[in-house]
Amino acid sequence: MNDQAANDSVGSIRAGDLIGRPAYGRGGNRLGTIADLIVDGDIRTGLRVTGVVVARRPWGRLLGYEREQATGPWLLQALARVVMHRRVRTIRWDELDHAG
Amino acid sequence: MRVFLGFDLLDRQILDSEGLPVGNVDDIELAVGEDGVLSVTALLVGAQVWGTRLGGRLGDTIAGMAARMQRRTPAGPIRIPIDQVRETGAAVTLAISRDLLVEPELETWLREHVIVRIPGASADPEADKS
Repeated sequence: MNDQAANDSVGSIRAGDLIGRPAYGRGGNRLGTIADLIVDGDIRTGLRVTGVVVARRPWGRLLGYEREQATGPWLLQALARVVMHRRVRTIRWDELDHAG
Repeated sequence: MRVFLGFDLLDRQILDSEGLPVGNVDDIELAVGEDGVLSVTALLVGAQVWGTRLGGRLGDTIAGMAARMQRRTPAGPIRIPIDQVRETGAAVTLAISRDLLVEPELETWLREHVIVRIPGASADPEADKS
């Protein structure tokens, strides 16, 4: 196992390199800042990046309330939905311009 | 299963198969597959990775200090392949023992220079008397 403490594999990228970067649509239009990466699948078959959470502002994350399974005080949920409707969007990975 | 990498994995504590702490998820390695899709390949642990992710002057300082403390070769973060993860939740639980992983340099340094000087810190009570 110790040999697996090696450098990053060739051709890899870190999630931290993507989060916080600007996101652009296929048409070159700026969508906002990448606030999070969405992956689907499971550990055995592979976790594949299928989308990103894009925020108009760097702090537009709102405590993870954009997740469908989010629970919490109803007032906070309602407030988060109103604010997120304007500031946070989920974009499919294939809708992004990957050139950058 | 849908996972938000930043919310559900980054900065979560990592526990080994026996529930012992390993560290935190300081960053996540992604790789482009043959079909061009990015997939999660490993969890990365270490102050150097965390400093790089933090960015700015503070992050650069932390990453630089961590890099100078590195003694093992090849240098780099502790890399835990994603297939060694058993489950994710409030913490990330591994399917393996932490003995199979490399110990973070900061913890090694703290143990050798700070913890060892604290009376009673040794696992062997007889060793503290001498």
